[in-house]
Amino acid sequence: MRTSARRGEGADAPFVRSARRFSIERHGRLPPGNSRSDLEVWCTFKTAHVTVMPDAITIVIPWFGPDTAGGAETQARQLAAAIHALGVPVEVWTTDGRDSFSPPVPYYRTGAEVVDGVLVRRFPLTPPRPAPHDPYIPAAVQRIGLPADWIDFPDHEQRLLASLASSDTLLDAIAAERNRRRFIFMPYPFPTTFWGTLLAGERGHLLPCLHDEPYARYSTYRWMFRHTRRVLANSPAERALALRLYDLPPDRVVMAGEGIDLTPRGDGAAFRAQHGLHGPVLRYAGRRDAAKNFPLLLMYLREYWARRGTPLTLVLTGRDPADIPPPLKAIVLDLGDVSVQERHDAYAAADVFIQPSTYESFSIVLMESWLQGAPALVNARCDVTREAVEASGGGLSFDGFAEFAAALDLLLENRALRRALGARGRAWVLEHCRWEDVARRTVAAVMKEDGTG
Amino acid sequence: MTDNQSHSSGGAPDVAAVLEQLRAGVRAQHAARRQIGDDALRRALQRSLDDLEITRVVSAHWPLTGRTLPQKAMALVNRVVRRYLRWYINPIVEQQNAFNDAAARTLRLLAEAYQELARHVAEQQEAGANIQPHAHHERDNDDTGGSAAVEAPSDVDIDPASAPTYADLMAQVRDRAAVEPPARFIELELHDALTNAQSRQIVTAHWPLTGRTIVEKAIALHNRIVRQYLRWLINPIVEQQNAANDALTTALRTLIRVDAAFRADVAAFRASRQRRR
Repeated sequence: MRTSARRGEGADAPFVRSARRFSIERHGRLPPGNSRSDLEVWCTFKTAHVTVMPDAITIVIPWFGPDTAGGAETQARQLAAAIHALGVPVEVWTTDGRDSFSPPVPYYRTGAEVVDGVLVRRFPLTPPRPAPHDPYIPAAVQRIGLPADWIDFPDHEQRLLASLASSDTLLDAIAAERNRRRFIFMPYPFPTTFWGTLLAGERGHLLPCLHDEPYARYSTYRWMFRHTRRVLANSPAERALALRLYDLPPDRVVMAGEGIDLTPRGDGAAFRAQHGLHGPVLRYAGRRDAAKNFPLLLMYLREYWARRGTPLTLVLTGRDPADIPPPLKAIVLDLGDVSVQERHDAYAAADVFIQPSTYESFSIVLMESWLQGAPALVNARCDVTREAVEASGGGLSFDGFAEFAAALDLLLENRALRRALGARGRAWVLEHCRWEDVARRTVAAVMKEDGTG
Repeated sequence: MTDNQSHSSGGAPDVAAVLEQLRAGVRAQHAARRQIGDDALRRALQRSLDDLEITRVVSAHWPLTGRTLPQKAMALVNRVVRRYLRWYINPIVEQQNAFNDAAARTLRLLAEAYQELARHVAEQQEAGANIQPHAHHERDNDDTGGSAAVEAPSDVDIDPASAPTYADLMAQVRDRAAVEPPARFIELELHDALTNAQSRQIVTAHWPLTGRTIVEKAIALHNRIVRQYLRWLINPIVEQQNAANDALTTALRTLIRVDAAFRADVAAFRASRQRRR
């Protein structure tokens, strides 16, 4: 649901005009180097800062909005709404880009809007530097000075930061508001997070959505984790990873957890009837790329199908295009981008939900599938999902093709077992994934005063 | 099959048996021809891979010599110039070699993948059928299951609390996995190799030239000026090479997709045979 007009100069034009007057009266001049659109954003922001309550929690994320896809982005939206529901002042600062699946160009209107009752401020996107991504230092950082360690960071790590979308105006705003807000930056790899934590200083908190991936070992990110006041982990395994990778004191990494919307009810029978599905239905949801091990899932499933001859169907949902070899379309039903209800119907129709990814900090889709009673088969090399399956008893794990095939055999040949495991998973989600609890833990961690805060 | 077997008990020729005998002969001839063709192809492939291995390393340090005195003097001058410019030329050559190495590895793996695929096809043919590519693309909704993973009638629900624990179930999984025939997924290696090649395909002549001490900074400034001057010569070469690198990785990516499509074809055929059993 879109909550305010995009790209129009409608409702808030008087607001922007009064903001401009206010800004010029207060500062006597415009901020240097700002374009006309930057000016309006800056003025809007300036008006906001005189009305905002002290210590408002401000979530900073590159992409946010009704049309934005992605795990961290979904988490940000639901976390902001949950904090707002507690009555704690919260805002979201983001860019006008859509999401990481879309080109880095404006999609939403810059300025302020309200999403799920939460004030969202959109700043103009600063596109990635063109290849070979020459290292780039935002103006806000240049003003306060680079960290002494910057020169020691390898060139390719500096170039990685320059290769990702950011927002210089957003970073300017963080620098200006650093003493009035408590910031939560997410997810960890982006320039808005790296430079934002530097600018926010002791008021910066990191909600990293950390995965055990090569980037996590970069010295830039190690530096960022070690210079952030507190890190909020989505799962015990993510917390353990952060402690292990960055040698952090245990009290610096808090297990705030993550929630999901617990209200959807999927209709599996209707979904099967609608799509003419018979026989075993397997389910995958999420990005269809190598980082999520989607090609591995297709390969394993292809070999399983060839060996068993089992007439199965893998149901896929997701917006990004999938490269599926034509002969595999006999066993793959790719629905693309579907409604929330259809997504949950597909979970409910599944005999087994498969999560092959090893790069997870929580796995929203795993929890959603459990909510609909589907047993899970997860990659044993992912501590986050394997520990969730161990703790809930809601599924099995596989390490290699032989275990994948054996686990699928075990699940597909016993409907009662599937139901029992799915019920366990659902009970675990209902107990552990309530947003209200997560929001309370998050607020407590961010607002807690301590020796470092 | 013998002559006696191709006659019915009454002495009349058994037409079906004769036809089968003829078909078997034709199949044997085709297989023999294919074997000869395959062997020739394999040898050609191996030769090209050997050539690739020999030529993939580019060197900026070939011998510079001369026979006459002027030639020797010229060679000496050239050696001095080459030595002077090695800070500029060598890193470019090293980047290209890194890409060549990654691309060559991907090609070797592709060749290995084709041979593995050929073995799979041969196994299926030996099992008594010819593969019909793209013959099984229709949605397979046959409810009759295959040899395994056939659901037992079990409508009685299990109390989730009394269902086997994760540890118990995983013990069963491991027992079953122990008897599962091994599978190799060469595409995973191909994917890694291609990713490696893609990450090295852009050669740059503009890496940072900096220094910490005053002397290093002075040298860096000098080198930047020289590089700026020589860009008319070096940049077009690097750009052409980058275009070639890009075309090569695109071709490799396409070949890998073709390989994946053929593997899926073979899998579809194996699945249909498995169901018929």
